[in-house]
Amino acid sequence: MKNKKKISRTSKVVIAVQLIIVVIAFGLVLMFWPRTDYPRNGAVIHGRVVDFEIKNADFIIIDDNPDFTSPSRIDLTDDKNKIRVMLEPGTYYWKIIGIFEGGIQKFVIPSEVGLKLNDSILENTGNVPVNVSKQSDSGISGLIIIDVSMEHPVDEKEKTIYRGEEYER
Amino acid sequence: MKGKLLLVVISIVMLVIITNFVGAIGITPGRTTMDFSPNVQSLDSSAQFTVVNTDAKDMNVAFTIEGELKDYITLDSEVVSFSKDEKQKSFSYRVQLSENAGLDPGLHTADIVVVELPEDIDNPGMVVKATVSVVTQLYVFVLYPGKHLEASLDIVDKDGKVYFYIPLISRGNETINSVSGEIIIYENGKKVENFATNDVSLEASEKKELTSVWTDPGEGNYKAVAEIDYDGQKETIEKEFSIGEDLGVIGVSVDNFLLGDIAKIKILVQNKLERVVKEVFANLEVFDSDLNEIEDLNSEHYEIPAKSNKEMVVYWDTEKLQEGIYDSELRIDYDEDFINKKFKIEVSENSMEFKGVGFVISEQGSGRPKFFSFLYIIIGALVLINLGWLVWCLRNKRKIKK
Repeated sequence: MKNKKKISRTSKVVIAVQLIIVVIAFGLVLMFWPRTDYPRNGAVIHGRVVDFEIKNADFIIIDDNPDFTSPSRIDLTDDKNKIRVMLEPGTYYWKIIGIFEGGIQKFVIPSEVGLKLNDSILENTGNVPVNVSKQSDSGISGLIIIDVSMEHPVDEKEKTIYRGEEYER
Repeated sequence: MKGKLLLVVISIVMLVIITNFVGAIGITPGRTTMDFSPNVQSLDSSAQFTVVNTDAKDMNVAFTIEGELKDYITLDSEVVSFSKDEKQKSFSYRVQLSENAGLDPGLHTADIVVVELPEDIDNPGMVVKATVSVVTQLYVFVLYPGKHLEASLDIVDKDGKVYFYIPLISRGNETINSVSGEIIIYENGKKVENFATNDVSLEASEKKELTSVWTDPGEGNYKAVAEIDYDGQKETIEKEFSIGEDLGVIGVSVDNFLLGDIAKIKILVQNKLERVVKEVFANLEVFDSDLNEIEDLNSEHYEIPAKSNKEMVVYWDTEKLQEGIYDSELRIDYDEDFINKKFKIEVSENSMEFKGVGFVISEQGSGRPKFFSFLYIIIGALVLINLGWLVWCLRNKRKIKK
């Protein structure tokens, strides 16, 4: 009878210990689970600069396909919570890795075609290289390619339209 | 005399008007892609685009549609006004293609052109000054009947390994159940290696990638032949590539640095070739923490003898520079090729250090092992506790029976 009571008491202790272990494990998982403040899943980001604001991560894995067959790794060496990266326009899939691995998230950098004409200088103000053609009364001519943030001198003649479209590499 | 004076004044006013005009406009996205399967259903879809008032000013913009698909596109607006407070405005166009549009399989395009007009003009035909226009393109891929695969081959030489990537797009209207490939490497026409890729399936219009890696390549010139099999159909892509850089950056250093002085940045470059490399020059771009370019520095042109090292010099006036950590990109141009390295530059009152920075192709990017080891520890602990408990219970039961 005494032994039965002992077994019953020990069983309760063992169950309590296991419950404590499970609760602690859940607590640790919650505490160290990688979190993302920015960019949010599905975000559309304009420009070329992406600010990652994350918690509980050592590095970021990023790829342009969801299977992560050709991933790039961004190490978070200096400030573990923030990193700023310059990326080409496109759709990106990414996940953060620390003690645990975060889920796959996605963001899109849409291409932007931008042109500025000032003092006979044509500047690419978008985030993709542009094919520029010149339209005037005599027709379309003079195809040039201007890279991002680059300038090109042009004739600023009357009745001329400089037309920019996304350059396909 | 008065007439001549008036003409001169009018010419000056016109010149001022013409030269003062600054055209600036943007559009996003630069391209929208749609797929169309004429045998299955018609296409009736809308696409949104945004016109950006780059210089935040009062302006008018006019829209026109050009290209092969222009008759299938409708756009509500023709001319729209922007005030200086309107940074951007969104618009949409509708694409309607019926089953009997008569389009062949493949790519068909249209351009939605947005031209900036001076604020007092609302017709592109009245433009007397030079101006700018931007285009958002529409790409419609008409799917091929059956199975059709588009593939290309990218080869990346990184950290002593060669990575082969085969991006795939299914351009047929049927699912491809299995796509796999074999990459065969030839050197001087002789087969030296072959690697199998992974195996994937592709729905219509879906994009995926085959990969393979050559872990121990030797330096040399090679040809890669990718033989792709998709549900019994074959596709072959060939590409030549070489392993090993012709030039290498051994180190970047600055001696006796004092913030505010002109820093002499020494870049030690190694020529690994058996010949002299002429017209070699270095370009160093430095960025602040917002990734804005703050310096664009160039060296002189150098000649590097065969199998030897050369110190190239770039000068940087640091008068306006502050202490801190900067990003930089070093590019060494030679012949018609270049090498590219990224560094972090740590600047203090009396030192400038260049440190290599990683934006590295990952070999094993997964953090799963850490997660699983944590899980294994918890499960192991619970199993041990339960085993101990079981043994203890059995022993006590025996004691009770006795």
